[in-house]
Amino acid sequence: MRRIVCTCVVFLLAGCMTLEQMAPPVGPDLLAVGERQGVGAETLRLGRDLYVTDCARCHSVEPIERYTVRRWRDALPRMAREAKLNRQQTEAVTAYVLAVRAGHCVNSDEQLERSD
Amino acid sequence: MARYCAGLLVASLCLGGVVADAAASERRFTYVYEATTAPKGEWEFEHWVTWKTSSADNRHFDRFDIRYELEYGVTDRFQLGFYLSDWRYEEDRLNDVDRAKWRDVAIEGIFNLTNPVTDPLGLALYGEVKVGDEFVEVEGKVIAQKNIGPFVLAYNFVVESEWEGDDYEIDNGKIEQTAGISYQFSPRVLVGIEMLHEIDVPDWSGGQGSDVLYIGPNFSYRAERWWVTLTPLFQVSSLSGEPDFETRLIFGFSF
Repeated sequence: MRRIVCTCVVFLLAGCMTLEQMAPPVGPDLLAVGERQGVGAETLRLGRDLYVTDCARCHSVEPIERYTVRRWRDALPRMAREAKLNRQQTEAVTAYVLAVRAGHCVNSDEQLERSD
Repeated sequence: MARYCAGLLVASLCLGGVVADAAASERRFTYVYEATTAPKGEWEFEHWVTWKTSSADNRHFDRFDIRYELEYGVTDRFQLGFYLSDWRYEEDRLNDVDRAKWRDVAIEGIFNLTNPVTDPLGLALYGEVKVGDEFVEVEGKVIAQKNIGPFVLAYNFVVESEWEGDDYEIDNGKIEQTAGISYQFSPRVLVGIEMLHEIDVPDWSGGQGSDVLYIGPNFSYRAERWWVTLTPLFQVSSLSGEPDFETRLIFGFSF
């Protein structure tokens, strides 16, 4: 029983990431990724703002890195409709989420290269 | 039992791998209101059932309160709710009572002040006016909420005043506190605890009436267009005239 309780506590604590970890602020790294994707700082900031406020009306803020790009591409248009986001807002959230994902992949690759 | 709980936990965590759709104003709690409101232009229908049963004074008593509510997001920060109809069915085998009665209609408004994710504390103000047969009730709430990762903590302070009778001469008050904590296992599955503390203040005369405390778990499941939340509450204050057990189920769908 003690082991089960400990496992549950570990899972619960593991879920407690900071907001900055779940949805990184728009900093130089993300701006660089956005630039490569042709997305401006304004759009990324609007996307992050919507992600941590409007999206969190329905569910807790999800760590963006938890899901694959394919899953995000599949889910975002439907969730944006549910949240009554307009076209510009939907594009901004999508651009922000995909930039974070792309940045995460770049960072992971860099970490792999460094460890090699 | 331990194996069953572990299985339930694993199943819930597995569901966490799915990015789920969710309607925008689904509720994590049934007794506690949250500070966030529906997005502008969203309509939602909610069906409430509250079952109260078995006080120490009367073990042969059941009461069902039914509510049909329509909610609309007027702006991204202001939501209106219309209680299309509240009615009650009660059965009291000790006093030979078996009746159904229409009770009231109501309008409520929730105005969101601060965001529970980005601000230190999410706050909202709630107002409600209820009108029935020789019955008027006014209710105000302050709603506080904080989202921390997958956890949501919420607290409501409620003041309620009602007038009943031919000339609305009976004036009763109630002060209520509700609080809850909810954990999101996945965007579809949420589990938590709720507390309800009610203090009756007859005539607002300063003389305190009943003071009752309930605590219980809550469960919420969300699908693409609908959601359901259930809270069974158990009385922990040993007040003989109040139900030992009550439970509320809310089913909602957005359109």
